[in-house]
Amino acid sequence: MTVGSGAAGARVDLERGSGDNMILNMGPQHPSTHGVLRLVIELDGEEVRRCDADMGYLHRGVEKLLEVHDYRGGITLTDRMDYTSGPSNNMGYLMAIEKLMGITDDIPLRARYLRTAVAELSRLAAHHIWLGTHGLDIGAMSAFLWSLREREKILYLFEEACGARLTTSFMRVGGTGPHDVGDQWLDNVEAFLDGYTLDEIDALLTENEVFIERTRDVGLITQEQALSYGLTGPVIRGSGIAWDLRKAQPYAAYDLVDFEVPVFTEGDVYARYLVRLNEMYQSKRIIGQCVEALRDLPLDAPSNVDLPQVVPPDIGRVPVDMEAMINHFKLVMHGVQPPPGESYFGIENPKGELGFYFVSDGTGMPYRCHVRSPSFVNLSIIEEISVGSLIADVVAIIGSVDIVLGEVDR
Amino acid sequence: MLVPAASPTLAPENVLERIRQHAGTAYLGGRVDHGDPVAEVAPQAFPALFPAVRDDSDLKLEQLVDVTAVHWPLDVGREFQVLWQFRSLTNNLFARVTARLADGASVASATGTYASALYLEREVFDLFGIRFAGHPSLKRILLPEGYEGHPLRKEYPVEGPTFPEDAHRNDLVGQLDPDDFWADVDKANGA
Repeated sequence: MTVGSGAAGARVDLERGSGDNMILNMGPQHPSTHGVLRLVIELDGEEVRRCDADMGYLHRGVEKLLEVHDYRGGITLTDRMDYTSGPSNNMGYLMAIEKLMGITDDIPLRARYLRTAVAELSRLAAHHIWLGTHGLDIGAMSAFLWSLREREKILYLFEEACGARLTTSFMRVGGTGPHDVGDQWLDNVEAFLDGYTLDEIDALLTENEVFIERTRDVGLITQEQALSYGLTGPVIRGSGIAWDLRKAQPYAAYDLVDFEVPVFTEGDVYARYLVRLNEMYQSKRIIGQCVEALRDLPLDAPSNVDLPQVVPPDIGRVPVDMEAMINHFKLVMHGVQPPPGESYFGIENPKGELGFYFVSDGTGMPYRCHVRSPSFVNLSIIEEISVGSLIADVVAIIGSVDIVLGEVDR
Repeated sequence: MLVPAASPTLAPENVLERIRQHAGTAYLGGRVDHGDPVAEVAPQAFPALFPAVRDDSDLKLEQLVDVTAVHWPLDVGREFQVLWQFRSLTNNLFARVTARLADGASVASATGTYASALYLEREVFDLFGIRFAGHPSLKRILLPEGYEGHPLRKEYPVEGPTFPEDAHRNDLVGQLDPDDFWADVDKANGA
């Protein structure tokens, strides 16, 4: 029987292997494959000779479903892809629609800052999942508990802002939608930032001899490989390429805040660990600046674009004002209707470049919506860099590439 | 260390011009759409175009970011629009190249130049049924082996090919009276 899906035409024979090699089936219910990834590994002793990734266990047909939802309804599907950072996914989807409609420049400052702050909060939340599970995979149990404790605080902030912890469906096309926040929320974010520290986890892992031994010179990705495999996000920044869409093509309020892009050149698991850890400190910096900027904005600053074909009217006006009622009715029944055309927009998600490609036929539902998911593209490198490493290192490599299967399979 | 340019080194029009030079007679037209250069080429331009745009020092489109397709079933003879989206990290550029294919036709694979095409082309094959000639292992990636049909084609029903005969509530189809159901709901709510 032949199984697996070797990228380079590799076939692993499940029953015999090749020669005396052993076949190991890792996943899809293996805790360290971070979801339902299945790896079929051919082993010579403890050394990996061939590795085939098999995926699709979580395929829900999101792209097909997006074709039959209006643009607003599609928001709820996006946070179910990379469920570790829901609001960031929502933001990528919304900004792609805004680009398609040509209203990117009209988004008010308040919405831009709030989007940036929430995207960075979700980056922290996503990286805390990675940090915890990556540590756990390598044997550091405390890092997992401490890390998830911090993540929990961020989820409380999401819940306060929009009512949901995980599947946030945060914001709408044209601004914040109904999800504007008050001073109380900003106070809570500031209180969170004041108490936020990575120092204990840092002290636990960064200089830990066992951790370094397990991660140094493991899973090496060269610069050429990183480019050829289309890698993005912290994975490419761990291989000495300072590519970050937040800097290269700033969106939201990233051109208004001050931050650095951590880059390490070693290309191993440890370098990717350092990239993400430093990125978390930068995220904290960005959130602090956004909260300050939001406080400085006048109280009556708009948080949505002033376009009736995009943003519904104030609900108080609907029963008393005929035009407002018609406007409300049109938007609820037909949704926003971008002009016919196509566009692609990518944002720097915690895992890498999350892109949405839209084709509009002028109706309220996209003719086609393609999701360029960072985890799917980043996953392809695992088949190559696992070869030659030990079976225990494969676990470290999966952790360091940081995939979410909800996003790989869509 | 590779440090990208702070802003794009070429205007979109110039990117199109470079692609036109590399594609030669296969170049069918180009436009700047929402700020992005979009070139349309004939499928014969591939695979020669891939190494050409990657190795051109002005372009340096080092990454094949995305491969996908759009199905236009009414456009008989050129049903599929395949698109390749490139990025240059060095020069901070973006470019989209599209080609129209007839249903059942195949196009050259980019796997010889970009390893990212290994997965991306398999995804397009899986969901659209478009064949990429020269791909080392072109088979389904998201859907299981032996699955029938290609779901992102427009004729494929959203509910799935066998709904509702094969739906999971098969035993209830045709037996459940909606009025009874809502009467039960009302009763449960104390109405």
